[in-house]
Amino acid sequence: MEESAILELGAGLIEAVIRAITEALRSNDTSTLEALRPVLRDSAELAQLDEALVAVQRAKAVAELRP
Amino acid sequence: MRPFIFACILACVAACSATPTRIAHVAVVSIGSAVTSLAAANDLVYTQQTDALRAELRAADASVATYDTRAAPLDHEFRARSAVLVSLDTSLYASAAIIDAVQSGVSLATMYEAARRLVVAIDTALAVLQSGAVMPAIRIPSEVTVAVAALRSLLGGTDGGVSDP
Repeated sequence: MEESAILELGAGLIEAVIRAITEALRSNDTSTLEALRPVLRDSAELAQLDEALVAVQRAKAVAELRP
Repeated sequence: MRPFIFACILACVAACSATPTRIAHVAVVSIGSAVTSLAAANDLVYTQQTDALRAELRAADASVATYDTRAAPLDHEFRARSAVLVSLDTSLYASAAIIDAVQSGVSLATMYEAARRLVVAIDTALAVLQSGAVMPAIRIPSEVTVAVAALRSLLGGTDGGVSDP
């Protein structure tokens, strides 16, 4: 592995660790469930949004392509 | 490279007063944050692929029926990736509930079991997101790699070492 690639990987990992520590300090006084709620969407909502995206992409095809 | 990764994990663990519940808390919250970006990346890849397909078919004066045929494998793969992300969300919520319940007397063994199940769910999700027959692989954020390594390190230490007060 080239030196630049190793340095880039190292920098990425350090950044990730700093983010994790920051997150831990920020969420120190909250429960894990409460800390997760703002970042995770409801499973049912997520599935609906994904189906909506499939429908939107098909609607674009219906609008742009011949029948 | 491994010693460096291990050093990073140790730095994180040291900075967070390493109790098993604290390590699990940090790992689950970090993975939770990253799952949102994985879902966004999944949506983006699918949109790009179907936009490109539609442009190609428009140039060829093809019909909607052709789009339906050609888009079917993309739709199938997109739904499969979405399903593992939803499943990962469920595993994260379940793990979070158990981590919180340790404060109310649920055993650490139960939490370790939840962490083990979570690691399996993550491995499954990452395998599906990175292997695709018709869509490109989704890049895995480095914070997921670090958080999973922290969980594995926690599971490796179940025979002793860190303990909750």
